[in-house]
Amino acid sequence: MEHELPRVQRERLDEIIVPAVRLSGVEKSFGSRPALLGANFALEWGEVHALLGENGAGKSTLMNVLAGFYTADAGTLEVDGHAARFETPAAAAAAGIGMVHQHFKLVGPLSVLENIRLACARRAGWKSKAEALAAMQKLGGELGFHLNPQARVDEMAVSDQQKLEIMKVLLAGARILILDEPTAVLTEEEARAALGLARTLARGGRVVVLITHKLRDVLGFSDRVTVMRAGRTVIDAAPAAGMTAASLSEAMVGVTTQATVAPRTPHKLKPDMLCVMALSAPASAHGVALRDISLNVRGGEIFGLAGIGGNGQAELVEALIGIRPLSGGNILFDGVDAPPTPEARREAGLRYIPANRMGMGLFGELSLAVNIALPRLLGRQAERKWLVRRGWMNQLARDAIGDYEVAGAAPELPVRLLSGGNAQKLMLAREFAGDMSVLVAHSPTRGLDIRAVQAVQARLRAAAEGGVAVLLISEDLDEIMELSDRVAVMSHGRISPAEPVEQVDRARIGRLMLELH
Amino acid sequence: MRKPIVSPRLAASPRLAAFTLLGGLGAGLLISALFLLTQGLGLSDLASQFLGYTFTDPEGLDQTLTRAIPLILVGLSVAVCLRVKFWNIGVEGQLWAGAMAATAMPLYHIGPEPLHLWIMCVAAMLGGGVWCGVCALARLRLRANEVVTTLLMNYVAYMLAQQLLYGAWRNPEDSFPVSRSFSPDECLALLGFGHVHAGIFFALGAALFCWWLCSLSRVGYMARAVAANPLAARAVGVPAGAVVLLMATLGGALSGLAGFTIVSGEEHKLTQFIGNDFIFPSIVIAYLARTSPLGVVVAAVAVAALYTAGDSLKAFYQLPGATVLTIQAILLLCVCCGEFLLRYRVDWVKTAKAAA
Repeated sequence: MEHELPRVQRERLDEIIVPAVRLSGVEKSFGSRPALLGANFALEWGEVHALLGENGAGKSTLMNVLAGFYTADAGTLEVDGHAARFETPAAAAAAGIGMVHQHFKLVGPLSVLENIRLACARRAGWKSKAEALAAMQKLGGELGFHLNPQARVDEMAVSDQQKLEIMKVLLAGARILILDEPTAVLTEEEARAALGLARTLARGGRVVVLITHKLRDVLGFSDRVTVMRAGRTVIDAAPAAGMTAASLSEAMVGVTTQATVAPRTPHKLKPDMLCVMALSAPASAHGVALRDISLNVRGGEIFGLAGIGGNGQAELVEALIGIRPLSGGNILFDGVDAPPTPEARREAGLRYIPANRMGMGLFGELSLAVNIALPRLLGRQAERKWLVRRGWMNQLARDAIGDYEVAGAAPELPVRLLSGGNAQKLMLAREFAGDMSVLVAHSPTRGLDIRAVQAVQARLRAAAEGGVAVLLISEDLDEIMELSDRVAVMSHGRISPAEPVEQVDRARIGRLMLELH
Repeated sequence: MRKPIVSPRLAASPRLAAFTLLGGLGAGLLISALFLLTQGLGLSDLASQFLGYTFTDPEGLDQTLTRAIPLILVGLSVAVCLRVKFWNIGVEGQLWAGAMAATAMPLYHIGPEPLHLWIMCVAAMLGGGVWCGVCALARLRLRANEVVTTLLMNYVAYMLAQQLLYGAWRNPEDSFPVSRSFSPDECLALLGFGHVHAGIFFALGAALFCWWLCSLSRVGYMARAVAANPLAARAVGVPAGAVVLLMATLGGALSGLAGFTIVSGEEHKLTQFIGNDFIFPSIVIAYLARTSPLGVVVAAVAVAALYTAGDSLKAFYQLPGATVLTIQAILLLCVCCGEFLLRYRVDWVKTAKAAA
């Protein structure tokens, strides 16, 4: 408390000169793996500051050091011109630093107000529920939105959960707000609102850090930008106004990435490999019902299904794999009824890439070798039944690691230790093995860095050129337009008739979404 | 100033896994020894009871091995179920069900005489398998928690056994609540070493079978997938429900087999006391073995030795029977603590005095 008065005075005098935060020469390694190799970072009051970099560049690690979740191995940290060192998140929070993680730290079955009281009551000094409620509503008024204090958190939309996280951090007294990938889980429209909120907060005198790998977040909504690559700062707090998408992606990746897309090699289309007729399925809790969905995908084409997430895409994938019961309609593979069970559908040539890799695709706790080998152990045509040798599985895993360039991998390694891009490559290696005739790919490049995106998209193209019927379900319109031969739109559990990609543009897709309401 | 910071380990080496297990066991044994010293035993008594009597004295070794037979089987039962994250708290009920099913065969003269022993064995596995399989079905179809159902099924089996022993199966000769004695060809042969009977081959054979199933066959890998991520397992095409049902039924069958080895190998009839005191040791054994079927054999023999030592402590030092349970609990707690160190790392971090 003795420091309080001089610091305030100093701030008034040097408001423009003293940076809110300065990190210099920060180093941090996990075991033998270095994550930060002398990173620098500086923030000024009143700005939105984008921290940009590929997966694994060290952005989150650096911000975790600032927020007290990690302690740095070397380097200095200054807050408001004073040297600081945070051993715990609580110490960082006491200095006014708060972080909203990509995976929210909320208690699902509790209400909004209960979550807020749980997180902030002690620090904010509230004695009663009414005090907490008043503080919450006052802040809501300031920020321009209101959350129902009685709503159960696990029943709220993701965007509302994010707002709650932001409120929580602010009510705990944060003036420096770090948002980790704030737009990754949001739809286009919600993302714009969230970024707008970030600007509002900054204009009110706080600092907002956006950890991101989306160029849009930087160019449209940030004042300054810091770019990291491989644990080092490559662009140090430059004004965002002078930046272009090309210069930023060059700084992120190190080399200029090919902006032009290689033209599709023309190839012959086969007849309908996947045919869905009038498919309906009831909604599960908080889900979307599938209503009268018909589509057909020919062998050799990529059928793009655009639409905002949460409009039945996940349900459609589950219905196609065979893990969601239908209330009506038919699914045909190559002109015959699809078998009822997931194992038989896989044997018939169906493969999938789920939007939630670790939830519905891979087994984080199990080794790469088991993850790769598992599908080959299933069904009547299993390659091994009574004697599964470890050597055989390890060889499969080594082949997959080599063919798909999975970095930092070994057969015995648990899959949860892989980064997002490498886990996705492993997913592809597993699914593309054997005789594939239909591929259902749901948001296959979401959350990946540029190089991983290119690798995955190239594999999808190659699959189609090899005669596979590819159903590409994505929220990323650029991806849909770039890869697909025909496009349809999904909304509210329905889909529009398919149109050739040449005939559609963004505006047309927007209109189609409206028509489905 | 230094203070501890606990952080999760990303991946622990197998060496560390072995070290934490052995360290936990060692600490548990040390604390148990201290506990017994406070109960009035001398150091030399400890050594002679625990090492001398249980392993080198023929009578003690006989008792240990005989007791280990059902303990191996119930330990395997819990371990196999845990492979699919199915918590089998009902080994006693399954054991009773197996023992009753086995006893019913000779009582009702089912099947040709020379095959009676084998028919009893199969009936016991069916009885135990059904007793546990029903709980697995209830979990799959009705989402009934197996911890509750398997536990309650213990009481159902026990009450059913009492009903039979005081009713239809009561010994007609002396009206005691035990079934009639089995004829010699309905009993497992003695092996010429005290009370140790042929059931030991069943137990060891079952352990080998479970090891093959869990570590070498494809079913073991499917089970791992179901345990690690049930939704992904289903989506990839693992018949997850069937795998859970199979493993749970197998687990029940193993407990049923334990019931068979007791009635046919030890008691030679169905009595009121065959299925007491198996639930806690079965969990301790499966846990000490980290669900490895071959490890279960070692852990079961060790726990059986503990019981042997406990019996003689009871006889010569007037220590209560709960002493053995207390030691088991100490061992389990220590191994659990070892497990914590396997998952988390504790660093002593030097803190700068003032942050500002």
